[in-house]
Amino acid sequence: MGDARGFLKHDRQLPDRRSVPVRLRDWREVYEPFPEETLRHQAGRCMDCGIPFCNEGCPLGNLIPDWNDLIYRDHWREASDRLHATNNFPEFTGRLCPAPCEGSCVLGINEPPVTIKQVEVSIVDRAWAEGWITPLVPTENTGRRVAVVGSGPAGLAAAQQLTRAGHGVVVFERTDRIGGLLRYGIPEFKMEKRHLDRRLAQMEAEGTEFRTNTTVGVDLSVEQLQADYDAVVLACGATQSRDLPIPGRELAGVHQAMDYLPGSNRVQEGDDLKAPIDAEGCDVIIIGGGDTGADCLGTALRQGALSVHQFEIMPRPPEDRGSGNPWPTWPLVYRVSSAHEEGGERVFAIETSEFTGEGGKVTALRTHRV
Amino acid sequence: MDGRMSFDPVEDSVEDFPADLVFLAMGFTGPERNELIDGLGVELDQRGNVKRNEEFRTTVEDVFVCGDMGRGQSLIVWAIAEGRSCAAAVDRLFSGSTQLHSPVTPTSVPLR
Repeated sequence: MGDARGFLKHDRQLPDRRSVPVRLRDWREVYEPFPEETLRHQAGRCMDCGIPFCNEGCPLGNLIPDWNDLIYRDHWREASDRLHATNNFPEFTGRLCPAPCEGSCVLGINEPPVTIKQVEVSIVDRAWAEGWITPLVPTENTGRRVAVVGSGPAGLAAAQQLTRAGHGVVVFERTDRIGGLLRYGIPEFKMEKRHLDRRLAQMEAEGTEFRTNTTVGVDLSVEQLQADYDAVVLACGATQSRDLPIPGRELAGVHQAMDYLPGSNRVQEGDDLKAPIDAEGCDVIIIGGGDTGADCLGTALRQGALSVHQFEIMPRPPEDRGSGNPWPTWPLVYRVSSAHEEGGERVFAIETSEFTGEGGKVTALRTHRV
Repeated sequence: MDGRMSFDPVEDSVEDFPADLVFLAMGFTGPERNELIDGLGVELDQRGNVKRNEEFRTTVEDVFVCGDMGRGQSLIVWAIAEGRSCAAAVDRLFSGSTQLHSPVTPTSVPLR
């Protein structure tokens, strides 16, 4: 355990976010650098609990008290090794994960929990900067061949593990770039794609092969796939979007979020100058109060939307845990993402009953409160 | 079936909001039914996800499934945890045993 009294001396602290008017003019990540000394104090708030519930809260079983202690003691390289022992891609989770570990942190029973996610991302960013993360090339080749279909976080994790175990792994991806939702779903302002590209370069150096623009079942028959490989790992995600089958759904201007978000990501990749669906000068309404909705919000604001409303059918969650939602379960509380700070209006307990339009194009939503 | 809940409307609360663009971000219902799923002939479970046993194996020999495609929409940490665990299961098929980390099973659930 690092600082036995750390949690008594230091309050929970996170990095500042860049000012809204500045960050809305670019697509870069929103956080300012976090001083190492401050991070050390934050890691020192960890109590190294006899039963670390954070370990259980994280499905990866991340060894959180271990690396908090190593950071407190200034052993960054060992912390990186500890972190990578359970997580292939801490630079992704350190940016994107909603951190159930923090919801189950024992300090969270009566104090704000340890900033686990910030410690995680700080460790891995420094590890990359220092050159500590290098390809782990397998020392033997088993001669077995595995096809991984789908290149999101599940497929990439499976591929990296199997490659490192000495198997020959080929990842098939139907789009033109590897990454799945990490590539075309997550906006640049939440995770700059250079983090993804850097990790993919490591995987290629380890021997993982990537085949883009390949739809298995179309460009490559499933019979051929099964004949060519000793095992197939399906990791194609749950990409079927829930729809809203109400009158006017067919009007132009009503889109699934996942038909919208890839466009701005392609602009950031340099493929296009302007996204096919661009919110500049538009009144925008997002139906759905979750993270994908917040990604649409931040994207629309950066494109220059006139107004943005985000609708959520459920009531506004409480600021603190309700009585039926005790520690260490996932806290169902009101959350403000970086996009919510940037503008737009959140409307809770509202349901849309109809899209109305003129000339085949949507002009309004008819709603009622629930 | 599509997982939508129904809510009682509040009386006299009808309101129109002008909009040029609407984005639906209401979650994901499961994997797409396409030539891959149909071509392989893998069975789906009651929720429409690809069915699997405790070793991440689908109903088709030597075909495994991990991540949202087997679990349904979830968090990135679950995706990575499933990918790692599925890799361990594949390695066990090849080698009879494995040293790969296997943090979750297909039926693991969050703390509750």
